[in-house]
Amino acid sequence: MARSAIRFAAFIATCMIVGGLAAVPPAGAAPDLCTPPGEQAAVALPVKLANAKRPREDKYTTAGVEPLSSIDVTKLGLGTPGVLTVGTLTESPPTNCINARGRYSGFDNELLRAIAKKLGLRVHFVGTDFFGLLAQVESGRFDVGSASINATDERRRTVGFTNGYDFGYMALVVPAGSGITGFDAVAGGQRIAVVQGTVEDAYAVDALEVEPVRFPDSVTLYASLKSRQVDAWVAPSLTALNLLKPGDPAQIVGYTFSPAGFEAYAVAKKNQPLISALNSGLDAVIDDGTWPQLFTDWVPRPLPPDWQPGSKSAATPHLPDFAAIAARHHRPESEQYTPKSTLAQLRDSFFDWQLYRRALPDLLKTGLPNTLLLTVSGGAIGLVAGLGLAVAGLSRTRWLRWPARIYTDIFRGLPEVLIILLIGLAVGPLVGGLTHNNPYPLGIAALGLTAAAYIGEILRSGIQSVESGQLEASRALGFGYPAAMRLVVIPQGIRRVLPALVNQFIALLKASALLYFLGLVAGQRELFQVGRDFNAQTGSLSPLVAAGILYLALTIPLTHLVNVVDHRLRRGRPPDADDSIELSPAISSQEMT
Amino acid sequence: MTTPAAREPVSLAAKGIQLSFGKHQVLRGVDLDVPAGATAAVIGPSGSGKSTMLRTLNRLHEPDGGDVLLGGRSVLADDPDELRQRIGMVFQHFNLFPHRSVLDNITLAPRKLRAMSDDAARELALSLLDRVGLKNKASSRPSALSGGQQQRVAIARALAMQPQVMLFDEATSALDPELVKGILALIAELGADGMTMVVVTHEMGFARSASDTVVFMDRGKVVESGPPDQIFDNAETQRLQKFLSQVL
Repeated sequence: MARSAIRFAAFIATCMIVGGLAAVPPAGAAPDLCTPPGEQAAVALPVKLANAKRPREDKYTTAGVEPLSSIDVTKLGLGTPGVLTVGTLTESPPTNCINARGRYSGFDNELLRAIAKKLGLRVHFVGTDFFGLLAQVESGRFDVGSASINATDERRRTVGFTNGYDFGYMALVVPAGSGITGFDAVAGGQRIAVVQGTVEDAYAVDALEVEPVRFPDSVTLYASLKSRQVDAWVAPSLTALNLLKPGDPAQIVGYTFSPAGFEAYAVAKKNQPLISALNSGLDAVIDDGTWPQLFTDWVPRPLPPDWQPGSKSAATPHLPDFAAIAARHHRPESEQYTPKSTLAQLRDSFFDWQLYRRALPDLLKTGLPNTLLLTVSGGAIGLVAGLGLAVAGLSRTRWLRWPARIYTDIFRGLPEVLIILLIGLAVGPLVGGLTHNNPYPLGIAALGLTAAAYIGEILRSGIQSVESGQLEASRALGFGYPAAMRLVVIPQGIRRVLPALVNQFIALLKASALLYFLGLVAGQRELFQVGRDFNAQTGSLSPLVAAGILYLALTIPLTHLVNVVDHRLRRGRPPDADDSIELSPAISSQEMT
Repeated sequence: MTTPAAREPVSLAAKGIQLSFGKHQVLRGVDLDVPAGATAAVIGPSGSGKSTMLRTLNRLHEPDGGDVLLGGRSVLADDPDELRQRIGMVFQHFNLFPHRSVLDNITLAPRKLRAMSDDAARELALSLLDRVGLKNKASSRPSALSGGQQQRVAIARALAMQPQVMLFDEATSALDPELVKGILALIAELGADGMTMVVVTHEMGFARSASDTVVFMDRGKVVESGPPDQIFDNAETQRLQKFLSQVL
């Protein structure tokens, strides 16, 4: 009820912006990176792969699988019976992404849907960040992790894996005109970029022996590369091929095998029944032709020699001759496209009106209500807890004062993103039963508890600024300390710090964007994450700019509200005549002594 | 009858009150004796402990030694909040609640502490405002009033609890000179009506004309006390003589 009311209010509040943007011409065929490119997009196995190091002996792929009929789906240790809860990425097309209709898609996820169907399970996707994904799978927050994860030996120490469903190779992407011509030209002193915690990260450190620049996701990384803030990018080849658009000031100059081996779904190590079941499902979708079809639609390119998906007894998939298709469609880039000017590049990246229009419905329907809900609930918690902290901080008992002090020091002293991660990822499993593994309430708690530390200090300073005569006069009338504080001192203190409280509310509104670290389902995404998902879908930063405009539409009126409140408080103070009265006793007492 | 009956005035006495703030001894055995219905004016130089002594009478400061008697009975074992409901106090800086209207300033304590109905409290407040000459200011904010008007509201606020004793702490020191007389007249009027009062003041004219007893304090002790004529015309101690020569 309350939520729908908030949504409605939010909708009304932003009608003006909609009106403003509605004047823009209708959207044309803006690119959606999260659609299957089809077999005509096929690429040949890169020539340079021939010289690359071959994958080592495969000791993990199972010889065979259990028959599907012998699998008891009630014994798979799922968090929710009958439902496969999957942690995935929202911004790694074409393997893991959210499409324009808000569906978690991409090759990995569509394949997992097909596997789950074989097993008679429903799939529930949750978007998250890669660096926390494996830990969340092992801790049981997710049953499965789906993110083109290379099943490396190192990762196998943390988490279990199914058989492989794809075999990744890496591309080296450089800005146009770069002096780096291939993997053998990579050297120390260059800014080599990777997505943090990926197999490319490990490859840069171990094989290339450079200290890479680490990014949270590939879309941000690619934007940095295009603006030449990094010298090269060791990328999953699919992601690179997908992101690089004709005319972009970037090119792929080399390929290599991922030394780690195949890509697989991550499952908690102890959950062997689920691993077996997924392996059976994988073999089944390879055998019935689903795998080859999805592979051809989404990621059309040859498999490495000597490797095939599924168990060793799975059928050999029949795939089109991608190399031949690629040769038919091949046109040298230089002939077909002229590089865009820097200005055109900027315009497409930041001010694409069609993308604004496309992102706006989701920003308004999903992002805005969630941002407001997070901010208002976090603010309510912060205000109540903050008042408690302020009163405890002013107490004459050290057993109240010290805990309040310690709490404030800790929560003010830690970066907000760290608190959100700690509460979301560390406290999450402890209260999993209470929250049904939903990070949303934890995020609200993290925002509220952090705000409480600041609000507590604001209120305390406000309360302390109330003249001691107010408390004394209340006590002289016969009020006890608690009643005197509640009726007289605290209301005055709060009035004095109203501007600071509104500022804190603005800070909270902005901090709500950090919740995207916790992994939210599609309907829970706030403004920033919605903008980000569109950003990942399209490769353009315009959706983020649109989200930014909505933030401003919320914060600027609040900033002005602060000014109005502040002005009124100042003007509302007693006239100057009173100040001169305040002086006279001091003067007379000096004369007396 | 919607308002509780006014209480009978009672006698107030202090016996050998001592109080230290840390190592600093502020009160060194103060004696005070105010018969029921009488007015005691307390005079003395700044820092002599007058205001501190006043605050030990309603236990805003708890005395370290000595006794406070109300109607001949010690009050040191009573609940201090309940005790303060029986003793009204008026401050130098008024200390009105700036976030509440004049009416709310007066009705707050009766409503919350006496569980008086809103209507009854309002009626009581309006009659008190009438008495201090501010009936038309009920809905004003304290900041919209002059200092003299604010002090009248503060007196009405204290009277709303129907106290047995009133304490005034330099109630006119923060006022512009032209406003002092009106407040002093109001205080004198209260005394004439039979209220037991202790008035700490720098106004020697008031002490002489409106009090039954004048108490001269210096360095945390009562140096001399007696009827106004005796104190002002026949001062016995050198300290009082010197003090009077400075202020008169």
